[in-house]
Amino acid sequence: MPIEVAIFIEHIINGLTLGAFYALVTLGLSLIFGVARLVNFAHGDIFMVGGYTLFLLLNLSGVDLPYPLIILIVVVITAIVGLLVERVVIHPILNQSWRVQAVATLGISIVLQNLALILFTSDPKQTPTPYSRQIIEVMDIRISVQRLIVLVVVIVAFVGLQWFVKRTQLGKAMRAVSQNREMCQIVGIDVQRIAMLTFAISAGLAGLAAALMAPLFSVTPTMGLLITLKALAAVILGGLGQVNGAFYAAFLLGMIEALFGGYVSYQFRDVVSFGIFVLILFVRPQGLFGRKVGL
Amino acid sequence: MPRNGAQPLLEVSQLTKHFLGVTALLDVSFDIYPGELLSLIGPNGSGKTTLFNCVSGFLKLDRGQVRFKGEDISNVRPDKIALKGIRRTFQDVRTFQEMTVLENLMTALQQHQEENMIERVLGTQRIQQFEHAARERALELLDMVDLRPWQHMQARHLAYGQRKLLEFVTALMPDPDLIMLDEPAAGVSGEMVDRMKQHIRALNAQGKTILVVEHNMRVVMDISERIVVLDYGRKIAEGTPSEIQTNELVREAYFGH
Amino acid sequence: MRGTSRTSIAFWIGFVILTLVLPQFLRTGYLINALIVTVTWIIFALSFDLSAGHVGTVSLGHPVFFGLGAYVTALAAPALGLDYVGSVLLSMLAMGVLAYVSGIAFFRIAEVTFAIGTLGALIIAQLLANNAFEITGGPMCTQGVSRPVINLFGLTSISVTEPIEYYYLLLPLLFLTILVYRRLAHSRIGRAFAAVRQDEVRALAMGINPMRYKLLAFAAGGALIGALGSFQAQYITLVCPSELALSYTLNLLIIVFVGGSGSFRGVLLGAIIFTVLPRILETVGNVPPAYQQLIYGVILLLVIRFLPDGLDSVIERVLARRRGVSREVSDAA
Repeated sequence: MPIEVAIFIEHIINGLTLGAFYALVTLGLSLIFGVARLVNFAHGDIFMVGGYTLFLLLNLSGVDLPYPLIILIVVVITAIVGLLVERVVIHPILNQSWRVQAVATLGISIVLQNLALILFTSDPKQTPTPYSRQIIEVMDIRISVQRLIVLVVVIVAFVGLQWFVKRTQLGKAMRAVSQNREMCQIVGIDVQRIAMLTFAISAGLAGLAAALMAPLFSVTPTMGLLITLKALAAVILGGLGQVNGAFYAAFLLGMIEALFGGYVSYQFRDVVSFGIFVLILFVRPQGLFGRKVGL
Repeated sequence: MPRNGAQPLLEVSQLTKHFLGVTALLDVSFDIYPGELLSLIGPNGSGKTTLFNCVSGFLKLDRGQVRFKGEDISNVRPDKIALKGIRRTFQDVRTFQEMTVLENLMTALQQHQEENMIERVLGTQRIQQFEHAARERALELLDMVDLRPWQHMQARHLAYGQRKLLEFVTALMPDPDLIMLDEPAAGVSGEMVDRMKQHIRALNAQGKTILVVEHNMRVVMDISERIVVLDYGRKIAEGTPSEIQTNELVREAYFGH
Repeated sequence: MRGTSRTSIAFWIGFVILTLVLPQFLRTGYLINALIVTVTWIIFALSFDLSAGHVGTVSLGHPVFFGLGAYVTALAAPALGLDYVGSVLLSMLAMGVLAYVSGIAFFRIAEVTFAIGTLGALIIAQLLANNAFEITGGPMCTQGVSRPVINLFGLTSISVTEPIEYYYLLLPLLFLTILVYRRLAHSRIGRAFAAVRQDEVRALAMGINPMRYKLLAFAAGGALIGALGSFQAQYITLVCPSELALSYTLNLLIIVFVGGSGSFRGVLLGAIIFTVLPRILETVGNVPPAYQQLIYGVILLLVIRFLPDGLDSVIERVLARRRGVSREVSDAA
């Protein structure tokens, strides 16, 4: 296979893994927006918490946990953190204006970031798994096993989530709440509890993303910001509250980033993806996949 | 009622509006003449509020035309329409909750008096005269609806009925040529309904032109000179209260099927 | 009008005198520098509050005006041969225009989407500053910005080097900011601002064009912050991409929402607490910055939870009670 083609395919695979990763983070953000009409600016920081949890688990002295178990523990711990955040901060302000909510979630972000800074300093922490250095080569195409794991797990997670939302009692309730909150309250669905569980699930998804993706780069206290913003970009491009739209937008974003970074300029790849995001905002404020709703 | 040779104040012709494929209004036409009190009725979802929003500029028309004092105001921005002399209230009472009652009223008038940013920043003599005049007018209106004792209270502390009255007088502040009231009697007690009715009647008696959307049939039949009936976005009848009461189509729309 | 009552005139005279004589009591460069930092944040936060607190458009991108204002002075002013006043005016004008033009685009989007879009713009600006080495020096910063020189009618010029001189150089900008803030917030314009913040749809129904007022507050704030960036560049003699960091936005949110958004007293209080507290923490407990930020984060969350209108609402309540008492007294008399 000509080397150009092999490189092109590698970029595509990188774009897919990046997209899959953004999709996972975006899903959580999108679920919260759907159920609680709240934009969580601290979502990326929950991801960061997941990254450090992974770091700690990989470096437990004397114990060598299998990677799947580590992933599970990270998901559980971030879900618990999400639950705590919801109980302590979000719950009391659920009926406040978007301004108060935005400031409050940014406040959570400040707290989490500085806790991480105190506990782990600002030095980047490496979190290699047994798979992140393993590379398989098929017809001149070189792919790290970790990336394949990311792809597979994200697809499984997405299918699982679809099943959960469509088939389970709780999932159906979540959908109902995001479609019509007032009606649900009238019918007697416990909206508060649903919001709480959605937060836990959303944080767990961010944790899953961290457990999968952090091994491909390093963990720092401030890494959450760019992740939050990329997930927000995907959520908005997908149309606020449209979970599937956000999912596709995340892949689009990952692909643009991988291809632009690979062929044009690695330095300016984020500038371009955010630039496209802001431009689309001006042209289609309702998002690419969203519908315009009248007064 | 077409008064001998008078030009209509508001002319709505063939107004059409679709929402995501659903027809909310189809070819609705009617006129309002100066000094008239016209009511717009119809079952839920018949397009009354949509029509209100189209006339006041909050929704774009898909087809048709709205003329005010002979001037085409179709698809003009709502703030510009307001300044041309059309004032409206909202179904879900909207007052500026964090402002005092008095400030609510002053806000309603200031854009009509001037909108010169530099003068406003400087707070010139002229501006202060305007402020004074606005305050006088506001107190007069507050006296009319017995809200003067609450003038310095934030609107959010008022009772629902009081807020409804506040919104009503807020619409009167600039002495508009056309007043559009969206369900003035909805959600208030019987006594308050009567007060509202009296206020609307008194206003009309002074020669004000009023367009009302209302559910309460007792109120509508009592105060209206003429009634337009909408059903599924179409005008199905137009006439005096007694004509409407005996109209078969209207009966069917309300009770039929 | 309220703004011209006798007590408030006395207050403002006192305020001006206080700001003029205050540095005379602060002997060390350290303390005067601390004072400059406080004044800087007062100006920054008041300009931010015009939009966030009064019109209700919370932009997360305000540091763009600060950072770019600084870069304009560092990169363009020397080429044009401008002195201090000229360079401040240049940055002010450039950022006022930028705010106005970007506002036309950004105010097409509303509420939280607007906040996210402006956050995106901030990140883009910072990434550009970091990566355009040839122009900005990237992470190595634009170094050697010249210290302020003021030309007096081409006859003579004064050059500024001492902290106390810098302080007096900054003071006019503080007065200008307060003047603009007061005149916009306490006039018919302020009433229109409040209308747009509380209910945009209803504002439209009263003939208020929300776009006009959003742009006015955004451009006025942007211009003032641009001027502040220009001062900062000539004070530190260095402009780095970190001047465009989100941490500045977070600081603004802490100051404005802890103090009390939409209130001059609240913002002033917030800025003073935010800048004086760390000095105390440093001297008393030698508390490192990460702990300080953590403390602010916790304070912000606590205030939002228990005093959603900020610390100022407590003062307001106390004053209202007193006023209530005195009104009863005068009614009785």
